[in-house]
Amino acid sequence: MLIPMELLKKIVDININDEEFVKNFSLKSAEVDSFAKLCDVKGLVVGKILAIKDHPDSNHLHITTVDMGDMVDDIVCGAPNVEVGRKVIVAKVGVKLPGGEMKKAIIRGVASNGMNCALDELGIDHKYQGYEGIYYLDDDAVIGSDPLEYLHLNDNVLEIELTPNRQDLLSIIGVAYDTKAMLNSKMHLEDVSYPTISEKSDIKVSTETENCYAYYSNVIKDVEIKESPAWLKGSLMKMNIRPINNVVDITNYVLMLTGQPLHAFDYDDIKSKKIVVKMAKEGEKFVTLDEKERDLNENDIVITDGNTSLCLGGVMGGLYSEVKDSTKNIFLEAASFNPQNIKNTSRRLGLQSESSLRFEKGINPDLTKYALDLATKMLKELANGKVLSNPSYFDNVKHESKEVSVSLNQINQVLGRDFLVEEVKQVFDGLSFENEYSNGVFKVMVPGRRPDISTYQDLIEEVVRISGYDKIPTTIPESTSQGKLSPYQAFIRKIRHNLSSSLNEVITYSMVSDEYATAFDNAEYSLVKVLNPLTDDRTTMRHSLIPSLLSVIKYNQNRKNDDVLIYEIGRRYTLEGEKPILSMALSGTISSTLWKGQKEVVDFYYLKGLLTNLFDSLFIKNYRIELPENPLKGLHPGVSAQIVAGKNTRLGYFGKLHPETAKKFEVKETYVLELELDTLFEQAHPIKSVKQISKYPSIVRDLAFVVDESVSSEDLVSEIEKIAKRQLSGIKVFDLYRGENIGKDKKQIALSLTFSDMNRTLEAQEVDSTINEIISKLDAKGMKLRA
Amino acid sequence: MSDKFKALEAYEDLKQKLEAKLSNTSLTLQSLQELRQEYLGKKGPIQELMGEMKNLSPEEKPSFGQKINALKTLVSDLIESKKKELEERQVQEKLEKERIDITLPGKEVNTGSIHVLSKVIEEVEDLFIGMGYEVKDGPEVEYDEYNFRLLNIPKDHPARAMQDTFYVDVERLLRTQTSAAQAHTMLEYGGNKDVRIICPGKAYRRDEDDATHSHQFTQIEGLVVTKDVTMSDLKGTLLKMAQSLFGEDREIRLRPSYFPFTEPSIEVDVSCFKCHGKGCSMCKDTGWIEILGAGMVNNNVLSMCGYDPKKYQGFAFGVGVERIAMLKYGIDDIRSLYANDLRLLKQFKA
Repeated sequence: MLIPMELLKKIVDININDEEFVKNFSLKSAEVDSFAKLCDVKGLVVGKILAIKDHPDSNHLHITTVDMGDMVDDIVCGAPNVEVGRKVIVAKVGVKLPGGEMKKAIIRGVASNGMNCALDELGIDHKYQGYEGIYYLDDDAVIGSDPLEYLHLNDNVLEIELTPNRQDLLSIIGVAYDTKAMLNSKMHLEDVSYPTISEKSDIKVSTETENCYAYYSNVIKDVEIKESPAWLKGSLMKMNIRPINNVVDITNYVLMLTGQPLHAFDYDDIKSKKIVVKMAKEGEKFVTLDEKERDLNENDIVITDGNTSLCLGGVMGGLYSEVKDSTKNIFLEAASFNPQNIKNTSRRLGLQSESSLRFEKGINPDLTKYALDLATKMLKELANGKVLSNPSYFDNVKHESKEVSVSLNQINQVLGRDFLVEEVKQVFDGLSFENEYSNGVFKVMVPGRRPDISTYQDLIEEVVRISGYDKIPTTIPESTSQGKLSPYQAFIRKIRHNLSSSLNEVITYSMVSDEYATAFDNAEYSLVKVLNPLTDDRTTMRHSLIPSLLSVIKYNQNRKNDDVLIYEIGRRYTLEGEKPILSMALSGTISSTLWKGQKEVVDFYYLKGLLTNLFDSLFIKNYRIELPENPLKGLHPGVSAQIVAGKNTRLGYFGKLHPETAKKFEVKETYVLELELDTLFEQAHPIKSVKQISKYPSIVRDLAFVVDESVSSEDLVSEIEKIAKRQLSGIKVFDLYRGENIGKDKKQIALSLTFSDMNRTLEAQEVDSTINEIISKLDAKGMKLRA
Repeated sequence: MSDKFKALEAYEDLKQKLEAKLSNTSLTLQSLQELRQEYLGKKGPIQELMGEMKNLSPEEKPSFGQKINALKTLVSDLIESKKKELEERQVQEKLEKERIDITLPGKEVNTGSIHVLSKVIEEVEDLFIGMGYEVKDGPEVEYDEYNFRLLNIPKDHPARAMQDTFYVDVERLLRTQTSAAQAHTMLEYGGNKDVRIICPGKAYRRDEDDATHSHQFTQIEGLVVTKDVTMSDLKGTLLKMAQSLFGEDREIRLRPSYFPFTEPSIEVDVSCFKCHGKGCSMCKDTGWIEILGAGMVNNNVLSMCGYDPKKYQGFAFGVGVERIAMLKYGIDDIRSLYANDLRLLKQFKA
């Protein structure tokens, strides 16, 4: 909404400067988007073209001799519409225009001392001018004076952003009410009385639908359709409305001032002498004044002459009855319609206008007649119209204020400050809400222009915003409760902090393409798909974070950063619910000292180490890393594993990306992991009491066994653990060897075994006898000790 | 004086000869050991002189013995001190040899980082936990009921147009605000327990991604419902949050706004932390930066969520984590928060 300060100041007294006003307004009424003049060029003067000569060296340029008040000088002008005797806007040499500073110039050998301007050269949209060439001022413009003053463009324009509840601010009068309240000043609405002639209006208005609440009309005869005066054109330009002619301009001006849409018909096109408001017939065709044929239905309100539709009520006029240059007599309408019908019609037909916008949001019912009268008065004054008496109308709107009460106690209890009765009263008086205070309660009569106010909370908002939020003290609510993270939230945080010491946390979009959503995890699930996606690559809520992480790897590798070690904590979504998951994707180098020729790159065992360290830090002990029954989707079948707890609780999986998958996602060799966080949380059993440590020295023995390739290192370790029992306190694989001297399909695994006892120093002989037992039992299973 | 003594005298210049040998710069620990053998060994000159003892008279023996011993000590000391000197030199040489170029680069290890959105969330969580709040989250695929209706946004409410929504089916949508979780909590608490929660999480709106809009974003919504919490409590709480996020000397100001779930509703600005109120590009020359929306909980929301508005009142606020992160760290494009360029990520150490 654009509010020219000149218009606002006509209605309400503003006793502070513009800058303070804007600050006040933004703190007490609505958000201010901008505050500026439509045109801020300084030093322009009104000039008069005294003479025109053809340019000797051009067939389209002219040399104009212009009287600028304090001087007469030549200006070379390329406009096609130059005309002797006309008043123009002159930018003299030195004036700073949006396109640059005006300089004295020699144009094809002829000196030019300024420019005769078109509006767009002043930074004003060309649409406001309406014709090509230089902009002409009316004859009453004074030579040498400021043309912006003449055009009423010297005031600031307040642009405000409205919240959906404040449709009352869609009019300058509405803004004036708020202004009056916040400044505690006075408002004066223009008197709208006008004389009528004895001839009576012969058009009868009626409605056949309840969706038309009120309809006021006037007939104005013998109007002169012409250009509007400069002040009216300037006012409209400041409100982003293109001046057309005096009749259209007046209806637009009154619309912006009052928020009440008006419609002017050519009286002579209403041959039946009656106006009947109806619902359109299903399938009815109607040509709107933009010359487009529209298909109507029975939810559209139409203004008819009884038979033929003349106007799409509240949305757009019809081509047939529109005001033409030849129009002599006007039938003027100010009506009020059901907002829902207007909303539906304008949405369906894609016809949104300043009028439909206001009808949709609800107009001030108490200004319908005022708006009609104001426009009528202006038509009389600016178009020399004669107003007929006894106009027809109907008004089914209850023009009553709504009673809402609020107690002083409620105000103070909600706001946390003790307001005085006078402070509150001043707010309600300022807003022109009739009010009465007795027994601690304000009874407030809320006028029709503020349908947003219906509860005591709404009134409290009025009190606090108009008195100023700066009056509210700052306190902290008392609390006896102890805030804390839940154990699960603390668990997630611990994971984040743990991993963030060596990996980089990322956050990616939850919505992915269908293809990405199903790229990993072969479990059965029902995907969450969005009905109205914005783009094809974001249609489905993801079921795995890995595709998104791979996109991040690709993004970084494309930017010459090959080493990407990332993780994300997010959710997987199915129609059955959401589950928190943790995923990692690792590619490239972990650490390096390149000049020493040392470099550690990501492999399966690095990821496995990360995983086991993480589990260790989270007190997760009872889990197994095992070969999955079926190959994991998207992963290398030989370099991947699943993580299982208890009998068959799946905690997650990890491994190397299948080469085909890596190719598809355009990433270099990458290892990925995905864990179920809530399952993981259930497996975490934080330390309750310490495990006793032995005070006695331990004995370490190293052994190497040659086993078949099919025997895993874990198989070997668990065999040894079964035999050695409790005195074996640690076992570690420290070498793996394959070679011809060992035999085909064989490998040698070297282990370091630590023995200790809680209660005594172990004897070498007892350890040796355990070792011998291990050796002989393993030997029987084909696992031979390597001498 | 006997010949024996003369021999002894003659051998005394042996000291000078030894000193000469010891001053030879090519002397090594090895050759010093040989020298010791030569002088003090069984076949050495001192031992040889000792052999003469048996030929001396009892009277001569004591003084001869003393002299020999003195000579022996002298020789031994000379060699010993030389040995020490050589050993020290050897250590010095070894250290010198081991000298490295300390300017060569150290081992490069990937440094981890925490995402800036997580960082801001944790910061805000910690602040509010300190004030007695709990942290709550709910589903992102939410029912219309919780996301809209219970928050006083019935179908066809104009506020729905403010939040263009991704729908999943007739009833379900991607939540447009984490306040959906607030409705869950209030209903869970059953209308007779104080509520003091913040709800951080992801939310979605059907906005085309550009420098300032993102179809996915992060919100932290706060809600307090008690018998007597006031707007001044809200103002004090928000001031504390603004100061904790943007600096202790920050101020806030409140402006009227509109949200269906609060009444009165406010927008909150923080005094510009770049220009300290003088006006700059960051605050668009106003000295103030908009950071969040808030208000007193609308009675309709309280009743629909099981709280009697005659007994309870509340305040609520919602802050965009991306906006806070962008303002705080000078990030100018919201999309860069989701692009995860390592060069940006690694600047936020855990």
